[in-house]
Amino acid sequence: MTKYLLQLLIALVLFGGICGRSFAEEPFASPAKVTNAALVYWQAFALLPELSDGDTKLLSHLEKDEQPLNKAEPLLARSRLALGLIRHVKPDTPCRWELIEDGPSTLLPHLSKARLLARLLILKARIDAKSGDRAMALDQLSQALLLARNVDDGVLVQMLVGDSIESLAVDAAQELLPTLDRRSRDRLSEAIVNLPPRATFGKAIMYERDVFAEWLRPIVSDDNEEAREKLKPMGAINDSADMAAILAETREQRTQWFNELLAAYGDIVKASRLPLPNANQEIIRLEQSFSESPNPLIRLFMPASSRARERHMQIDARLAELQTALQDAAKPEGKSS
Amino acid sequence: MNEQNKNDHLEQELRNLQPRELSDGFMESLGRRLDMSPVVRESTRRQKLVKVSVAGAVAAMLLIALWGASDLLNHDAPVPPEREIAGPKEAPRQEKPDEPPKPTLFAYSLAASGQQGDLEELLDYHARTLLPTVTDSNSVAYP
Repeated sequence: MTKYLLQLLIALVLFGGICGRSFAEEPFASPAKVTNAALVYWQAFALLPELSDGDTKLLSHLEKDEQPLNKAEPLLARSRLALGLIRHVKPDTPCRWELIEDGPSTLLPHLSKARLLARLLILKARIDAKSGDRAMALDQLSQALLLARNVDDGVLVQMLVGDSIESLAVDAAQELLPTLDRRSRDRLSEAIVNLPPRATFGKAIMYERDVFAEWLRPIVSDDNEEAREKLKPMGAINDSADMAAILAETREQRTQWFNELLAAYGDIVKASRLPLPNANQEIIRLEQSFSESPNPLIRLFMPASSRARERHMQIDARLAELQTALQDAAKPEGKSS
Repeated sequence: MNEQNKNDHLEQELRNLQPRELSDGFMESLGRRLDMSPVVRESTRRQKLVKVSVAGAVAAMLLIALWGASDLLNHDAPVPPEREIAGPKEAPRQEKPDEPPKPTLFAYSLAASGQQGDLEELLDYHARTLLPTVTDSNSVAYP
């Protein structure tokens, strides 16, 4: 028995080694086995066309219906490789951007490209829908919504970009709605249900606190000269009058301001959990008090959160409305709620 | 007796198998071939190369010595300015007021806290300026 066990172990080790080796030698990822959506997105970003100022303006005009849709065709033709590539990202594909954390200096080079790619997808969806290719239009819209969710890794700014994409996608979906047959409505509804969950405002604020405050902690606790050295690469922050005021103070004063900053983030999160009208009022009141605060750390680092929260909640409501409309329209006549 | 005869016969056969002395003609021909072999030719070539290199080096040294002497004699020639030796530089700043903002968390957060549309404008700017590789003229995607 022991003899067979040993043979079995050797066979398993050999088999594992062969499998591992063949996996390591695969030069390309199979489209069916994409393990990180971010890598597909980066490839698509590299294939995006160079935009002129005119292209940027055109995109904006097209979104506001100030230009006929067919004007977008040359730009979409230049983007076709990028738009085609991202269809390999599925709703259940994990997305890890793996950005290098560096406090406020953390680089987010993917944000602008993700937003551009999503805007092109939505534009393409609208053109496809107009030309009668509803299946393709729904695919493009679903991909734009998925990109919006994937771009939102939890930080407030990422949430804002995700929301701006979702807003455009919902606009396009509502425009498309009257033309969709039952099957197409079910398909879009299913695509929305299968999306990764939306980030919450409270989590975004807490993440913001972690990123900014953890970066600030050693600065406020060091002596003035060391703190100044650490701030040097920050440029804009380092040159601000508020930062000069912070560095002119003693370590004790700076620590007190730092603790007040941490509490301010907590106050925003607490306010966001209040019932709806009270929450909005309280967040606006807090925001006002932050801008007038004697604490320069609060004035410098507290984000403008009321607008971000309002927009986030609007998107939540619009998505819920869209889902209801899709489900109602899919029900047989006379049964709509 | 019979055994003795057999041994004598074997001895005779072995004596016949002894190598014969090489002829003088063969030795001469072998000597000529060895002189012309690639190993010998290579060795000759290397010797020539060493001689040429040594001659070149001597000539170069002479030229340098002459050039240095003429430079010493020519007092009116302009003296090159002294080079400044760079000292330790201040850490580079990422964002100056006249520099376009980089795609950092802080830059986006500031834009988001600014006027309505500031964040979108900054994102549009970065969408135009980061990874600008595919132009109309070189686009492989353009039909």
